[in-house]
Amino acid sequence: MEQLLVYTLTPLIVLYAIIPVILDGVERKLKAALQSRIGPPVTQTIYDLLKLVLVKEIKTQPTILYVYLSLTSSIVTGLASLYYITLYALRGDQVDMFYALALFAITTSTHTVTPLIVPNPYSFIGGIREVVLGVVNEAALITSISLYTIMAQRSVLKSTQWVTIIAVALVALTAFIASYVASSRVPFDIAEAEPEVASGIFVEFSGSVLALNIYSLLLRRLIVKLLVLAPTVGLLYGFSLTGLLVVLLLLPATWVTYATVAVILGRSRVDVAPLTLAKIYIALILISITVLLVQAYA
Amino acid sequence: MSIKSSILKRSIWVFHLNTGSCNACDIEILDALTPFHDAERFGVKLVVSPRHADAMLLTGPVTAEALPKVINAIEAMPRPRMIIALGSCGCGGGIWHDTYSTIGGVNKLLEILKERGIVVDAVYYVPGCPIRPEALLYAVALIKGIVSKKREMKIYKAE
Repeated sequence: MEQLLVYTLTPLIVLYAIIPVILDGVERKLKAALQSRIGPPVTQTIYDLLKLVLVKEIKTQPTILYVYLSLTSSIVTGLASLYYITLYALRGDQVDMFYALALFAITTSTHTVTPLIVPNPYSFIGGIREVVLGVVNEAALITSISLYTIMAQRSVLKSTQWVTIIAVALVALTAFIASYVASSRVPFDIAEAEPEVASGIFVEFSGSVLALNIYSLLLRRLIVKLLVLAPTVGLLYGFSLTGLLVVLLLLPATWVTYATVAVILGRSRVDVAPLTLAKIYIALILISITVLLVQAYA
Repeated sequence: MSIKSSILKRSIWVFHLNTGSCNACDIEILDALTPFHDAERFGVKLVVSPRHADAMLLTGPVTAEALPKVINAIEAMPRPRMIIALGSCGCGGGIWHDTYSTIGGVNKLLEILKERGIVVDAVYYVPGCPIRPEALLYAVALIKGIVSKKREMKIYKAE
């Protein structure tokens, strides 16, 4: 059975590797439509990445080997995380989800550490800003998805008690907000907010290293969406092959929703945003845990 | 046209560098990038680091003070690198072409770059004082091969 699953899921992993680039093109087209303009073609992100691979890279930084290693490990662990999320959506085994979360944490940390190993002060400042946001958000993302997974495992929605439904709703809200923030969209697009902030994390990279960085970012966007979609579908529909197909069908819709929210939201001050976010997360998680504890002891 | 050339022309990331301009051309550049003119439909994206850029939008006559920074910025661009000289000052120095504090336009800059062994693969000239956003988009279309050159270069000399 395990062998069969591996053979079946391998083509899906290849698909996962392509999907974020295409969906980013769709997102750019959608943003253009919302802003009443034509926008780039859907294939623009593919052209951008191919172009970056083709141009001659400027290798001034002595740590270039570590940068390549860190980015490659980020992408490989990201794809491994996607494999475990798919297994979770199929089987509903919460151990798969915890593997996926652990691998995602490695993906994020290796991606975040990349600008810090480059000997450029502007890159370092941008990297520290990303680390601060990561510390606030990753903790909330992992906590909320862990709680969400436990709730999905126990099929808590079969209970008709309103307190349970409130707790599930709060945890789901936290998970979706955390996944939105982790997808680095406005106003949390610190990595990409470069036209305004010269100290972006990509500032020193060129050519294929920049292409790897952008691809790693797009892959993270895919992972964070699947991380919240898998337990949501499991909770509402159950874990099966049909459930996995529902997750895959909902993926473009979720991507488009996040893109629409990004267009609607304005930019926030990068120094204030993580603190406000931390307060919201603490409030939401504490309320949902309290509700669950009250329900357990009542 | 080779596949590499075709891909490079589909994605043009630009870096804006003011080398002593009066800001009129800079305002027009921003106008070209707004949703009204929508330069992104041609694959154009404004980037903040010369490391990411394929083309440099050069505005103003290059002042003596700015020259070392301009050379550093051009050297930081990966090859193939292009310069789009914008406005009368960018193209030929404008009314500042022979003043003590400027080197006078992109052609003088290219001579200095050549002396230092820094290669610029292509140069595009967008004249005007200031340039119109449509003129900048015409330059982009010229790079992509959508339109042809409006004029061939002719140098007139006094007899």
